[in-house]
Amino acid sequence: MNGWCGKLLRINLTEKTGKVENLDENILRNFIGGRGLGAKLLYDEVKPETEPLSAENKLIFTVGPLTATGAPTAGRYSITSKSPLTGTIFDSNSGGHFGLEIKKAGYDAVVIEGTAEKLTYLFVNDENVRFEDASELAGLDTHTTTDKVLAGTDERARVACIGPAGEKLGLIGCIINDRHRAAGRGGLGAVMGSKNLKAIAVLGTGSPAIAQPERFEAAKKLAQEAIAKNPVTKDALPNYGTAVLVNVINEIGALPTKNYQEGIFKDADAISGETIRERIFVRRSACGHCPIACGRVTRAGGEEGEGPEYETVWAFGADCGVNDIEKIAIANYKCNRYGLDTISTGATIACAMELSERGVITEYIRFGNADAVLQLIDKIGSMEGIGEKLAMGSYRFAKEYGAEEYSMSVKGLELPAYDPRGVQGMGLAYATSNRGGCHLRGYMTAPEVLGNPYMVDRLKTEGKAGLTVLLQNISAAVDSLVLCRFSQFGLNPEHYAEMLSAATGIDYSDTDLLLAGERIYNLERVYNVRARVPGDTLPKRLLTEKLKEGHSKGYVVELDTMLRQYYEIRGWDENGVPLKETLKRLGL
Amino acid sequence: MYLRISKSDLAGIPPKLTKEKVAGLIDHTELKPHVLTKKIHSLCDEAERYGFASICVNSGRVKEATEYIRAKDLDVLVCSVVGFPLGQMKIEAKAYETKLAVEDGAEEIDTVINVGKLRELSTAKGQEKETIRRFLLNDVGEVVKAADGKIVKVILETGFLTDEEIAEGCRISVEAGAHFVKTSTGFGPMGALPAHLKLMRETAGRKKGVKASGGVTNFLDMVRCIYACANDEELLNPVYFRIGTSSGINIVNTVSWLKYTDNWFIDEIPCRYCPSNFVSKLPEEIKDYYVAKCRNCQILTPAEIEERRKHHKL
Repeated sequence: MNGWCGKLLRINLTEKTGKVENLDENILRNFIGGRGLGAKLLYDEVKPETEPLSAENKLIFTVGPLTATGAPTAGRYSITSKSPLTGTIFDSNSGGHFGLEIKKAGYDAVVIEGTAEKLTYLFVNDENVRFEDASELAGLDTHTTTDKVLAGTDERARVACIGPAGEKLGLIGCIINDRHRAAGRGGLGAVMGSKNLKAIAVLGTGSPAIAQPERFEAAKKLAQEAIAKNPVTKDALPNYGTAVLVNVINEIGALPTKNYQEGIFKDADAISGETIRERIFVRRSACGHCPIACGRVTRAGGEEGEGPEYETVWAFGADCGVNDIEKIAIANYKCNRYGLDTISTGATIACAMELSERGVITEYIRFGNADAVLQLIDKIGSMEGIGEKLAMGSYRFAKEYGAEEYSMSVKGLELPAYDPRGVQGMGLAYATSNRGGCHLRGYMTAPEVLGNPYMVDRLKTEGKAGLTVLLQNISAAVDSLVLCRFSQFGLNPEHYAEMLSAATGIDYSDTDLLLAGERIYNLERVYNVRARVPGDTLPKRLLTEKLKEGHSKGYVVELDTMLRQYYEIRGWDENGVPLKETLKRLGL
Repeated sequence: MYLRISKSDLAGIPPKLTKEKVAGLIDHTELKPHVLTKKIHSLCDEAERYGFASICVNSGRVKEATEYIRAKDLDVLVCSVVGFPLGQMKIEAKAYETKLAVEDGAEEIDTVINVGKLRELSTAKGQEKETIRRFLLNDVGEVVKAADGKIVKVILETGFLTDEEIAEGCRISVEAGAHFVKTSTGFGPMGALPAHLKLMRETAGRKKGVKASGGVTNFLDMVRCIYACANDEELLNPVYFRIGTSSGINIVNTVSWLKYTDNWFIDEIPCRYCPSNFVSKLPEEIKDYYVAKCRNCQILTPAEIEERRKHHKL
């Protein structure tokens, strides 16, 4: 098989077995890899009613047909599971170099099932799987865990692991690979923790076969050139990292501030990408095979680490009212060590701050107090005191006090750093995201704010349903390849289809690729419907409270209008359930 | 000149264009002062690969471009800017720069008109007016003569001009024998805007070319330009229409996005692409002109006026 490996490694932790299975070529053709393959495997193997933290849930690591081929940004991997935070099908995607090793080891997917009797780590070296006792790693942070696992396996291996948060089943616990990269969202760290799996080290020695090498090189070159010529990927991201967005989003009045109570953070410049560069920047960093290098190695509080990225800067900065970039960087380092999702952690703390100011909770936590943020991260990471409740995410935390309207989340997943009252299409993308409040399922900020590929009016609803569907479909396809979302700034569906065709030897047109994306999106939706996931909506605040100042002043999200059009375009009923003819058209 | 572009106006244009045709309308441009030779070389390679109409460089870079093109046997035309970017050089200097660029192998010349003189023309009277007009005819005419039959495009720098001055600049350029009129240098206060392009086409006529330059960074920007000045089969041709841009590759790469959905097109408030919405960098007296035009806008609906009031920055 070309492009793909055609193999799946199934590891059963209960039985301590690892066996290699062949993957059906039709599944790979139709679901591509990565997110799509993960969704298909989860759909087939994990019943929708499965309790996410039970042995019946599975953790599915996937890569794509372009992984490790040298295609630009093709160093990523994806993890799919049923999320304990949202109850939805959930894939979380991470960079670094871990994904390259899975592919080099000869697999399109590694399915982890069952539960280990005691804390365990795995070493996958091509076809060999070793189960190692991880008792001495219990409670260790992700950096130390990585070091010890490498010492116990092979220094050339790459490690994905959980920290104390995942071990203790905190629902905002994530999986960290390569020390600083996170499969951040959805609490998949808790799923790994529930399986008593502390880490996976992977070392591969192979390389994927390419069907048409000359055609692939030409396609790759065009793609690299397109990325090199796009203003976002050639200048903004390499120079300032993702935090270049802080001032941009603040300028349009859509930087959520103090738990989305406001859209402008007066100290935005103090936490911007420009300030990061001046104050804490050490050097750029890049994931495997990435020409963009948006990563930042920084130094703060005597420690050197990676990040913070835009969403993290926002979560611990504007959302918590904090203007100290060094402390935000430290908060980021802490989360990486504990294995916590920075978006959900920051947003949950911001929710707690608002509840405190409103007198809903008795703890004294005020917006703007950076030290309080750092202390709360320690409590969440170690599940101590109020941290035990906060580690369950903002929705469960606020609901415990009867105040769930102050959780700025969708389907239980904390919203990221774009106030949809000032970016209307983003509101629709949040509401209809199959994994909850996520900006990456359909990054409408690209056209609505950055003008990529074209500028559209961010405050209007007209046309947004169709554009959201388009971006969700192409994003599902790109997540399945598995390439970085940022590649989309420079590449169009034709670029992706050409690289995929040349690598696999199977001709995909751009519309084939979009159709595959649509198929994946619908499969995820059907799983959620069967799992009885709540409907598509937004926090009440975003639908009823107008922004009070700035260039988005006076707006709420006009969701109803967009949602009706969206369902119609999708071929779903008025409750967001795919119609039979839609599923039939997509071969589902 | 006010202009409203409906979504149906725009939606009809992309089906007429392939990526290859789009590329053939683009002058692939690199005019920054800090550009390196290797960039000029890659500009040539890219023009060959994508099929751009030409590469557009400063006159001092023409020779190394043509030598590289010859050495690599590329099928690429070289366009040289002249009197760039201010247009305030002596006429003889512009003519001499043109002569040298042509000797070095330039096939096309983009010359900057003496913008200040063009502005003076609009307020001058009698004999003085006639003298300035003759000066401007010479300013363009000497370049045309030195170009020795090569294509000459005249950059008006529309962001510094009123509608009346743009129209007069077009008339002078045509009368002096230029082949194209062109909006901007990319270093001025305003890029290519549909209202100006429409005016330029109406004044220069169908037998001359119009080149849109400055701020055209993706295919949708280009479609707006096409609507304004080249929206029929005869004009949608590199002889009558060009785009000058350093974002040529990005434009070609964004062509396909329009085919997946027509939701990119909406009936936008016309202020979004109106010159009066881009006045922040203009000299005061020009700014006043455009602000006055905005206040007397003839085409906004009451709902759009309300929207504009609500969001002074669109």
